[in-house]
Amino acid sequence: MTRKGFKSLLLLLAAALLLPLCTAPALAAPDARALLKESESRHRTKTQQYSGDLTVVNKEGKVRKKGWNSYRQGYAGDSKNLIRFTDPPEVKGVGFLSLPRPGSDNPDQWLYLPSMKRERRIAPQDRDASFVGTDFNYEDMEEFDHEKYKVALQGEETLDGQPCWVISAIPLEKGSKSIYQKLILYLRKDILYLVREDLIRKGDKEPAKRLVLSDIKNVEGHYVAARMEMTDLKKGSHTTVTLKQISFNRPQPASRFTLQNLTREGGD
Amino acid sequence: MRFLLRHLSLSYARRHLAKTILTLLGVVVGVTTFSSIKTAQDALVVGIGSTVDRVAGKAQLQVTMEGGVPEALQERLRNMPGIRATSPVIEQIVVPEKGELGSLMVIGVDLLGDREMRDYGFEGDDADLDDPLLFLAQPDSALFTREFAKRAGLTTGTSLAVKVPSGVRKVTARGLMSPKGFAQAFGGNLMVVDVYAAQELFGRGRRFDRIDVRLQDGVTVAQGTEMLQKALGPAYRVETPARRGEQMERLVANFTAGFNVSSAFALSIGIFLIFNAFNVSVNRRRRDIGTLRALGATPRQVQVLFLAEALIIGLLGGALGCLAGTAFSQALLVSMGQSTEMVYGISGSGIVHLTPAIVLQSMLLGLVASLVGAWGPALSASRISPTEAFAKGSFQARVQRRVAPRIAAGAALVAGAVALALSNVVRGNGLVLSVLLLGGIGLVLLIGPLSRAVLVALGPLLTRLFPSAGPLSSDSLLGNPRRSAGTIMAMALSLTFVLGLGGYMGSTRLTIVRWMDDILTCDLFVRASANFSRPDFLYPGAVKGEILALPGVRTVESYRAIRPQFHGRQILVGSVEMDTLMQRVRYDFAQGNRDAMREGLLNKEMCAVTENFHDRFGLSVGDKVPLNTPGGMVEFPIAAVIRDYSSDQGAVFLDRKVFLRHWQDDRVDIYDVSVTPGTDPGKVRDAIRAKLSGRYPALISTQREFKDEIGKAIDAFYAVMRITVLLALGVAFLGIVTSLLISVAERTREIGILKALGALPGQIARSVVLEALVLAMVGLMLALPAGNLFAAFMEGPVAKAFTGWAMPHHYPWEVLGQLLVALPLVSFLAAGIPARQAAGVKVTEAIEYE
Repeated sequence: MTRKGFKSLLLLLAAALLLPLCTAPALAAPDARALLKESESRHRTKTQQYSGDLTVVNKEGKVRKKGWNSYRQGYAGDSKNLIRFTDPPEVKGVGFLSLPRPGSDNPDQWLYLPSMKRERRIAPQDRDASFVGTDFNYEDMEEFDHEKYKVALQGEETLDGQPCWVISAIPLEKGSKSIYQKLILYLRKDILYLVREDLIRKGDKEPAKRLVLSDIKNVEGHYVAARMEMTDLKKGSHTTVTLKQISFNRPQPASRFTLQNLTREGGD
Repeated sequence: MRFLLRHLSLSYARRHLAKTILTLLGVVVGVTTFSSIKTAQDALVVGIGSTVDRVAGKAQLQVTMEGGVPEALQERLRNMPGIRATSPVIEQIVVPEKGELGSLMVIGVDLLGDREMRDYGFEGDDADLDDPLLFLAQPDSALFTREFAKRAGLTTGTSLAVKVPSGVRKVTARGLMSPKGFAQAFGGNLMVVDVYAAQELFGRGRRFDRIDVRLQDGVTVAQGTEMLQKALGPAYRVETPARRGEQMERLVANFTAGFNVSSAFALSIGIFLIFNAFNVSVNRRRRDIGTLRALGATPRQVQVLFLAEALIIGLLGGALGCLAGTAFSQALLVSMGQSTEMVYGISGSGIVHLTPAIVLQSMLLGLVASLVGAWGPALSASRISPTEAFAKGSFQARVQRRVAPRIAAGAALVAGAVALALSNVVRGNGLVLSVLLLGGIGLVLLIGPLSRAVLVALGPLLTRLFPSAGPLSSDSLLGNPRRSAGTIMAMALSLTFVLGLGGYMGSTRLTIVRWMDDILTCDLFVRASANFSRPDFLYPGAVKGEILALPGVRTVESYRAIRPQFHGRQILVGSVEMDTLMQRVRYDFAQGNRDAMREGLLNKEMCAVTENFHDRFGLSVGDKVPLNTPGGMVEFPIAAVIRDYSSDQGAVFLDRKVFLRHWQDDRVDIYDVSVTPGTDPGKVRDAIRAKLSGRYPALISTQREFKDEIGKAIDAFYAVMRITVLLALGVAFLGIVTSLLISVAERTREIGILKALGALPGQIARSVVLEALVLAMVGLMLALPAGNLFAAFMEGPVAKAFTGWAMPHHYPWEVLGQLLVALPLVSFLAAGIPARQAAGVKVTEAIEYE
């Protein structure tokens, strides 16, 4: 055996020994579905309510601010949501209601305008439309439910010093239709809390928008991001929601999440 | 030829610049009239179509229903297979308080999702909807195009006052649109509001004007139409935007058809002016022609020379006329747009475009008119023998030799035109053009000999009335029969047109006024909308009870009109409480009678149709009118045919109960209120105002005011026709000026001799003024019977062909009276320059003149 041949053999041996070591984390990694299930079970609350400050900054730097109260009952796919704008006075009373729709994975959504004294249903065709001029659209206003997606673990990444699982989620589009082709989810490893979502539109390769959840606090024993920022990577605008007066599991009146309440003057 | 042009034509043009310019002016006037009318007419039709297209955006189909599409339909459509997107729309035209900004088309759309359907063009450096939530939350929010905002001085956040049914409302600009796609509709005079705000603003209740539909990829328009039509039933119309545009264009076709007559008239007058100018030019240059012929020029060369002159003048006049026409067309379009908006409730964009087709047509027109006008004189010129040309005065004195055959041919052609008008052989535009052509040529043949006969007969009278000026003017007119006949011909044709159209308009107005006196007999009319054809607000049916409960009110009838398509035409279906209505109105029956109509409409679910409906669709008493209702097709037997002028497309009337039963729509256009005897309608008006105040818009007119408003709508219909009548007078003026200037120039030597013999400048000037007056009055005299025939033709066959209404003939005495005042003034003004020129002729120069 020549000197050169021996060296090659050593390299081959080394490779054979090192390969199992390199692939070990992947093979030992938890299943993405299991991670998301675990995350859901850890953070599931019966109800949530908060006061939010909404700030929209367009690409020219023009700032629009609004305030709202948000109420949620249920979690993920079975959640009901009501948002009522409180500020500025010109938009006070405007309401947004989202209810699960029987037989469909897409919820029913309505917007109520007090000046017209009438609610308007958001059509599925309008799910891509901007939610009242923010960088969120109506689909973004739905609670994330991993069961509506085919999920796969992409790897790990560190965000702001925190190791995260990176999971891809592709809409199944069984009983629904999404405007997105794929979501990339970043789940903090330590608390299994979603801290970032990259949203890739149909036909695109790069994310069109990015949702960053930060300022994570523990409130009443539940982790919650007190700041959400959605950035439109194409338009260059971003919308920030700052959560205040957060509370969990407080009983919500049964009538809160109804159309009658939505259209009621001052109905929270 | 170039040599001849340079030495004969150019030298003549240089020496007689004023006359050459007048010849050119004749072509320019003719082409200007044609091109301005044609450009405005085309822009109006194209504007209507393009507004429909642009507003439609990406919509492939539009779903409409008489009385509006119920809101619930949108949800139904959304859930249908093959539908990609739906979007409700409300359209309305409003006028800003600052009227000079022009009408604004208001489009109510659902901004939550409408970008799937329309491109708003928000993109740009400073472009965006300022705050979408604020836009939706505030009902006064509106989007404007940048171009309109600039004209109105609007910026984001500032307000504009607009007139809406409930009065003047301020709307706030919350965003600006870039001028592309949708924002170019209606010439950019566009205001976008939220569709639900528009419902409130325009009293649409819970209905939309239409729902735009975008189909999923792979679904063809034909498949989509079939699927929707099957699913929705006959009460709904499913059409492509292009088809809707066509229907609107058809609706205004009657209105625009009137302009074809004006264009044809302008063209014929232009030809006459050119003919006259060339005729005189030949006479003036007979010595030059004689010299040319003596030097060996062939008759053909002489004819070609004159035709070449005509060609140059035609090209130049065509180009200038085309440019002038474009300048005038914008004003004409505005007037046309206002008329169609008032009469039909539709309007297009307000911008004219000079299309290559119009340029080509105008140039060809100038060219052909010049060649046609010059053909006869060129032929005459070629036939002048050198001996005849050098013999002074022989050509001038030469009169038409074969008078009798000419009169016979003229009379035969006029008789032929009358026969054609009375027969049903040709219809529509073909009828108008063929009758005008035959009658026009007949008149041309007749006017020459007749005018000479009249001038000869007038000679002694003129001498007796004006001892010095009379013989001079009489000699001048008889001395050059070709020039005189040509001018009188142009005058007579112009005045025939004026008398004919004036008579037609007067007759129409009189007929409608008589009809209004029979039908509009109640004391007050309570309307929510100023627009008769396209009401922008409808009352709920319950308001009737409120008005009826007021003291002094005897009866209230609720009138509702819808405008469905019927065999390709937009007819009117009117409904009202027939029991009380028939007690107070007098119907003029073409078929059936009062009792049959009352019994049929009230107890047998029958309908009454108008005479023009009966003529158009061939349906008579006993026949059934199939109408689409929300519940499906219903056939209404005809109980009577009445003479009624509610719609130029035809109308069907039903009892209100029948309408409510089938259409399930209790909204009301107008409440007809009758007061108890002895009650002051003014007090009842105040009470109604107070009752409706703050809740509904209320335009309350007394019977007199209401009739006046309808009169205004009729005037709007004829507004542009009136402009063409004025134009006819202008052409007559130009004809007289041309003729007199040429007359004075030709008689320079004669005038010089007269002055040398002691004639005073005043006497000479008076003779020129008298000449103008005689020309005009002889033209009028000959136009009297011709104008009467033309008016009868317009009132009868033309009106019947286009509107189905036959107007009883009414002699245009008012127009004649106006002409008897206006013509002497026009003649006096036209004679001003030539008279001054004649009075100022210097004896020494005049003697040398030849």
